[in-house]
Amino acid sequence: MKPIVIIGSGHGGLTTAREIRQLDKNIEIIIISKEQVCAYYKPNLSKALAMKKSVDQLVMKTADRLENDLDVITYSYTNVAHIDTKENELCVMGLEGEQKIGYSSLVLAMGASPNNLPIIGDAKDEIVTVNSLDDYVIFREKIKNNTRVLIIGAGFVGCELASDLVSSQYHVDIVDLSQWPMQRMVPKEIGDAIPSSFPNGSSKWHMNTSVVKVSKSDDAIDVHLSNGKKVSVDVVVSAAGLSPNCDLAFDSGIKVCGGIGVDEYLRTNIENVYAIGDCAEINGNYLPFISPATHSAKALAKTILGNSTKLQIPGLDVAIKISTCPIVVSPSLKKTGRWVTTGKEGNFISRFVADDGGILGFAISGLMITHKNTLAQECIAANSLKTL
Amino acid sequence: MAKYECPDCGCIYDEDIGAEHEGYPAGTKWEDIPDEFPCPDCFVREKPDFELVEN
Repeated sequence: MKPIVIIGSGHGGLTTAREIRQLDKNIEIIIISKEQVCAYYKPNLSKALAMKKSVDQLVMKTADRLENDLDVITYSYTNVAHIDTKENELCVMGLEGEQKIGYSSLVLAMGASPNNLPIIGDAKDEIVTVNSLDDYVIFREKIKNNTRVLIIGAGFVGCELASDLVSSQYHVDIVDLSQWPMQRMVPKEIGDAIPSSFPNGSSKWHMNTSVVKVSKSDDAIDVHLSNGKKVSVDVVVSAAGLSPNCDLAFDSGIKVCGGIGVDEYLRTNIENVYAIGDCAEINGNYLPFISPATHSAKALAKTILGNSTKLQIPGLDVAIKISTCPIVVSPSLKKTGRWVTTGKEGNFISRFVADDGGILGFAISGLMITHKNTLAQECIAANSLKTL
Repeated sequence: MAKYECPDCGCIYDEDIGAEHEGYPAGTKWEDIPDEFPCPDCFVREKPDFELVEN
């Protein structure tokens, strides 16, 4: 029998391998990655300074350890050039040149890439991202002897990164087009609580504006904003959202919507080809979080081994690690609803309520995060959508 | 006092510190934590998955 092949060694890919191996001790599993294969927890990249972890310490399992523990074969720094869905075969380009790899089942776990921003200027190439361990190595090197960092994007990665930097005595500027931090996930009360919780003078939040130009000056980067202001900093990092990696799938005739389109069994339109994690769009829902990827991996492992299993997500809770203002969000899959918020001074409970009164999601902050489990229960009880 | 680590995200449960937000005060022994205890950081792994890192 041909092996099960997984493209991508992020959380989705590795968890799928682990789950398959738990159910079947013998089946051959191959993991292919364009990066160095290793296990690290991506959300830790935006909190590693506070965790006092060096880049090396973020690696939880090396490729050797994974091969040994999971009994898998890994190909690092290997690009998949083409998927032949008729012959069930991949054409890959790796350290040992070009080769063909056949598969019985193929799992696309290719993640997402940072959005390309329409920014001009001679310092454009200096902008760094923090979406992979390789990116993060560069980021840590850049901030080493500097103190002023500008973050593009006030979503949850931008906010976590700001918190992490401030906790290590950096000064941060945060720029976002939205009206308040994390606007797509939390109500204004909670979003506004984030900047106010930061130590005095440690951060400046530029909302309702965007970066248009970055230019080199003597020993700084001048960042020009659309509101006419100019900020001089040492390092610019972009945390302005992700786009699913779909090109390979699209070029190989696999259906792509926003992400690689799959049903509740994580099946694409092509037989024996599945997609999981940040590259997938499940029945029209884009869920780029850890918890759905883990649950997807568990269901997918069973499906691939012959026991078709629907994805069920018990909860979508996401913890936002801001040391001065911890937040837990359970994002709503439906966008129509309104926030109903109680609380004060950074401690809020907010429910995202549908017209019929059903609770679609929630956001809680500060001391209120102890109520996480109660709210999650309310949410599940009222929300059959979570079965997708 | 012992420490246990979540195999997915590296979150440490330290018996000395407990998990205040989850309702387990400092000093709560690992054996007194229920099996359905989810990792307070990633929410996806549960107590039986945690690995002993320090005794």
